[in-house]
Amino acid sequence: MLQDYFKEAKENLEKQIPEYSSPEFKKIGDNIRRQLQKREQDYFLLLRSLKSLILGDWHKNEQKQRLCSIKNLLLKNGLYAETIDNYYSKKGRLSQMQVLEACCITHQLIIFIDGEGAGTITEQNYLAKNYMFHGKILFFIEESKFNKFKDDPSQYFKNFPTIIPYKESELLDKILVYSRFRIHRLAEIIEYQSRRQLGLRRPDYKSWKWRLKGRER
Amino acid sequence: MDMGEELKRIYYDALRLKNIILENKNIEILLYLAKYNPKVSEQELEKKFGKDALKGLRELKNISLIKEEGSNLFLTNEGIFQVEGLLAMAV
Repeated sequence: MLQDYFKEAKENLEKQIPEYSSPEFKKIGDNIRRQLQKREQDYFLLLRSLKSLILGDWHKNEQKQRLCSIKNLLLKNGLYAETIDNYYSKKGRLSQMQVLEACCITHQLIIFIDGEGAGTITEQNYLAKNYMFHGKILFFIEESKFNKFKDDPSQYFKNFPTIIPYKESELLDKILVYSRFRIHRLAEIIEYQSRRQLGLRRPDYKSWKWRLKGRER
Repeated sequence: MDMGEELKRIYYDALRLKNIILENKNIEILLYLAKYNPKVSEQELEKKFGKDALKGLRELKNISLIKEEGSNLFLTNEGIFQVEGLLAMAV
């Protein structure tokens, strides 16, 4: 049976939060309000708003379990994560392509775990041709498979700029380390831009699309 | 959407999240739901936190921290995650 992080977290919250009628309930609310108003908490909140999508084979139970373990690990470490199978249950009858279109755009990090044999072909094809996602993909591939094909540039995994080979026993640790680096880096960029009033808050900020159009004229 | 635009959107989303959480009694609503849902209805929140609670509720639904099924209100997975973070901040 899959361990549901959110179910456990909710049960812990029920235990942790005092009764509504108690003075402690009000005290916690006031404390949160005071903390949230501090500027330094913006970074913490920003980090917790960045979302990771865990993409990989999920049709067999053990594959589902693996994605779920990765999700739980990231959540326990303060990084919001969802697994791809969750989107299939949410979106009802959408096609695989429609699901990918809906969820890749809304996540800031895509943790893509290479499938067994020819697995994850649709995902590979979708992500390979959508370059705008490449900056947010971490592509994990089993080390022996990587070694077998690493000298062949026609292999499909050359399509991903960040390729991380792994041994099964290290997969969870590697995913946590690299995901944390990537999410913190992104949060720092956003924080830096907003503090320096660079692109993010500049009233005359122009998108690249607009700037490139301007050049064509 | 290019990268600059996406960063801008993420920044404003995080700022919006903070502002909405800080508004009116929204912190207390989130804590209340974390403690008592799924047995909480809109009427109960209005009774406990006043008329503004409904406005807050709408905003919290818009940013996907709360959802409604039937007449019961729930914290979404994102809602549970954010309340965990808020509590960690306060302790």
